[in-house]
Parts: sequence; C-alpha cells; structure tokens
Amino acid sequence: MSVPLIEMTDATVSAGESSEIAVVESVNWKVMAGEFWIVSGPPGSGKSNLLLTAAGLLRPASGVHRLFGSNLAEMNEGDLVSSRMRVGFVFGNDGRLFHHMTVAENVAFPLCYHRNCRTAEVRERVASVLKETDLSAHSNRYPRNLNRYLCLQAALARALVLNPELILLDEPLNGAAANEAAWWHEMLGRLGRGNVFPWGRPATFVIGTNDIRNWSAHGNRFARLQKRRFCLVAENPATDPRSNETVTPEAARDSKPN
Amino acid sequence: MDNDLAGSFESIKGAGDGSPLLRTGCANWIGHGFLRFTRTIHGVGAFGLITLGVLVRKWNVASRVIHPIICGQVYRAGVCLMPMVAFLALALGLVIIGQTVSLLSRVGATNYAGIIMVTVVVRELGPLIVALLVLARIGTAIVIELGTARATGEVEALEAMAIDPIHYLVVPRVIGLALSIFALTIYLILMALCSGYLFAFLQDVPLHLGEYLGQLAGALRWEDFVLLGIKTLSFGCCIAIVTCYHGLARPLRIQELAGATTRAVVESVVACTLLDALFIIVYLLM
Repeated sequence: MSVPLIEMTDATVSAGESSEIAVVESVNWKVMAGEFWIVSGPPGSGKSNLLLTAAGLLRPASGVHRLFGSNLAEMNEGDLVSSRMRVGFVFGNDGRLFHHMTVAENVAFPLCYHRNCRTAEVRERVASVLKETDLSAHSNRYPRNLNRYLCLQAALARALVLNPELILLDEPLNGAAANEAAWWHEMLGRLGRGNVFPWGRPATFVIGTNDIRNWSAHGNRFARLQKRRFCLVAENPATDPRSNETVTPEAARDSKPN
Repeated sequence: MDNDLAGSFESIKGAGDGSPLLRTGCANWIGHGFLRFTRTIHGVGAFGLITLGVLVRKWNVASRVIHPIICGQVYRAGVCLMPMVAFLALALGLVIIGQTVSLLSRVGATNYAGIIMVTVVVRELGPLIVALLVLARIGTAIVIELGTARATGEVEALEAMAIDPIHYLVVPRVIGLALSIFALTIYLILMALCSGYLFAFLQDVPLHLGEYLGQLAGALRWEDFVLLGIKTLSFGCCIAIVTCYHGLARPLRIQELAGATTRAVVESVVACTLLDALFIIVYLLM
C-alpha cells in the first residue's frame, strides 16, 4: 500500500505570523500519489496557510502532519530538506520570484544551490524547462518587466526544475484570461501524466482557488474551507452539483473566521 | 486583571504631576526598558548562535553559489568603501599628527609620536571608525534588503526550495563584513600612519622618517596584531548579526523597515562600543 504524500490528522492550521491564531481547525486529510486536489474557499479562509502547512513550510499549531510518511515534528534538518525538495510550491500573486535575478537565473537557482554548480552548468536543463513553460523568449528578462501571468509561469518553471513529486499552487488562475487558464490546464494535465520532461515523473497536485469552476473539469478530489473547517466536497465533480458553485462575496463574509 | 488595568491607568494619570504615582511610572518605564533590553540580548544572542552553527555545519554546502555572494559582500563593504576610508585616514593623520606632534615637539617629546599613533590609530580609533562607517553604509542597507525580502515573501520562497535562509542570506554577510572591516582597518591604519608623517613633514616637525618608523615599530607589540584581528572580525560579525537579525528575525511590513533600521543602528553602535570597552580592558591587563 502506498504512503500518502500528505497526511494531516486533527491538525490546526495557524496564521503564519502568529501560531496562536487558528485559521483552519481539525484538518483530517490524505493526499495520495496521482491525485489532483482542488481546495476552494473564500478569500481569507486560510487556503494559503493550509497549503504552506501542507508543504511543511508552516508547523501546524496542533495535530500530526506527515509528509511522505514522516512526521514533520520528528524530522531532523536533513530529512526536512529532502522532503521539501520533493515538493514544488508556486506562490500566488507574482510567484515570489527573486527580483534581482533574470527568469533563467531564477529557474537555475535552486538547481545550482542543491547541486553546488554554476548557472552555466545547468543551462541545458534550464533551457528545457523554459521551453516547455513557454518562457524561452523571456529568459533574460527581470521579473519586474513581466506581467503577473508570466511571473507565475516562471514560478512554475522554478518549482519544476527540481522535478518534484508533489506540486502545490496557490491561486494560479486568479484573474487569468481564458487563454491563460487553458495554458495552465494543459500544462498541469501533461505534468500529471509525467510526459513533459525526459526526466519527469507523474506529479500530484494540490491547488488552492477561490473559484472551483475553473478546475471542476480537471481535479479529481475536492475540498472546501468554510467557517474554519476543512470539508471534503466530492471525489468526482461531475456528480456533485456544488462543483458548479462559485464563492460569492456573501459566502466569503459568512465563512470568515470571527 | 481589571485591577492591573486600573493600576496602569492610575499610574498614567498620575505621571507628570509630581505625585508618588510618577515614581511608579518611571519604575514601569525602566522595567519595560530593561525587559526590552534583555529580550533583544536574548534574540540577537540566539540568532548569532544559530548563524554560527549554520556557518560551521554548512561550510562546504553550495560553496559555488555562496562564495560568489561572499565576494560580492566583500566588494560592496570593502572595495567600494576604500575611497571613503582613505579620506578618513587622511583626516585622522592630520588630526592626530597635526595637533599632537606639533605640541610634542614644543616640549621636546617627539619620540612619543609613534606610541601615540599606535595607541590611538591601531588600538582604538582605526577599528571603531571603520566599523561605524561600514555600519552606516552597509549595515543599514542590510536591514532594508533583508526586511524587504521578508516582507515580500522571498524568505518563504527560499524555504520552499529547501534553501536555508540563514545560510543563503546571513552567512555571506557575516563573513563579508568581518573580512571587509578587517581589511579596511589595515588599510586605514597604513594610510593614517603615512598621512600622519606627511603632515608632520609639512609642518617642519623635526622627526625623521627612520626615527618615526622606529618609534612605531617599538610601540607595536605582537598582541596588537592579534587583538586587532580579533577586534575587527568581531566588529564585523557583530554588525552583520545585529542588522540581519533586525531584517529577518520577525515578519516585517514595509512600513516597519525604518524603525527596524534605526534599532539596528543603535544596537550595533552600543554593541561595538561595549566590545571596544572589553578590548580596552584586555589591553590594560596585558
């Protein structure tokens, strides 16, 4: 039996700056290899903090969190680094690229650090990742000269260069146009099948979103954050009428933590 | 709890009118200041120990990425400051020799010129002036850089890529500043000693070059070289750790950067002065 990539048991997700403020409580969640999870919820419901906690970047305030079968609380530094290298994280907004580096340098950076080499030595691999993510033409540009959509693509490229098994994306389609959304759907579909790169392997996805409709045709597991609770919604959106719902401002207000 | 609140309110009301409550307010103020001081010492100390641990354990990790960053820090905090240090060295030579040696020559005590130069420039002013200059030019920039990186989430992005922010952001700055302050101090001392003699020569002070060099050599002891090295390296580490701590230690908003920079400068100056006092004691004991 395969080990869950993420396993949270009675976990309490706290706000990043303050571990006393619980954002989501009693999270019981398992993410198995090959799954495509969509976690929806109104703005401020704690999606980003849940994703950061799931990736091992924030410690849960209580409960147990296992990443690739190992309890995060019991991991030593070496194990934590190994686990994090198996996780790719694409931050929301502008992808949190390093603004003093070009797109190519941003993508090469994690590889150079972990392989202890210079940018020139990983040029082929970086070029391959940039080509597949349609960024070859922008490789020498700085993030400040790119729009948000291209920055997010570069953030995805930076996450992919370490060949992660699990990829977490925070609001990649927030405000995206139809063609941009189509690009992401197609790319994540190919990454899920593992046939984008010669060295690639099928990836597992967890995506945080405000609008579940953007992903209803692509996810195969759905969860929703509401009133500080993590609720499993459906396994197959086609059979679940809620898969067509969007988060209205009223729902957002209702579900904000008090 | 309510009683505490009421007591605090009364002490605030009473402050400023000369009543006994003013003394309570002062005690509170001193107590809060002391607690803040101990918290800062605790935080900076813990941060320094963590940095030292990372520096030792990860000395060879990603060396081809980290070493160029250290070189960049040495260039920024060392090479770029050389013109400014040269200017200060000339001024220092002028002030010390111009004022002191001309007075000494009037009382026929020019053979103390070397001892005065060594005591003032090598042991005291040289390292301190360079440390304060590096703090003003680079230390403040470090708080802004790291505070911005923290506020914009770049530190979280590093962690997401399994990169230790202390190793990537703090260690190169600590090594870079320590090496820069050490090298700049040597540079300043040499320039100040040369400019000192130049000004003495221009003032027609009866002091021959050989005699001046002989006085310097006679005044310098081997402990001066060792303590100078330790002192400058500790100034560099101290400034880098305090400024990095204020940039990184807690999540900052962009609006809080100005306050954090001010605190970092004040604490660095205090820390350098205390270190300097410690070295004076060591000099006196030797």
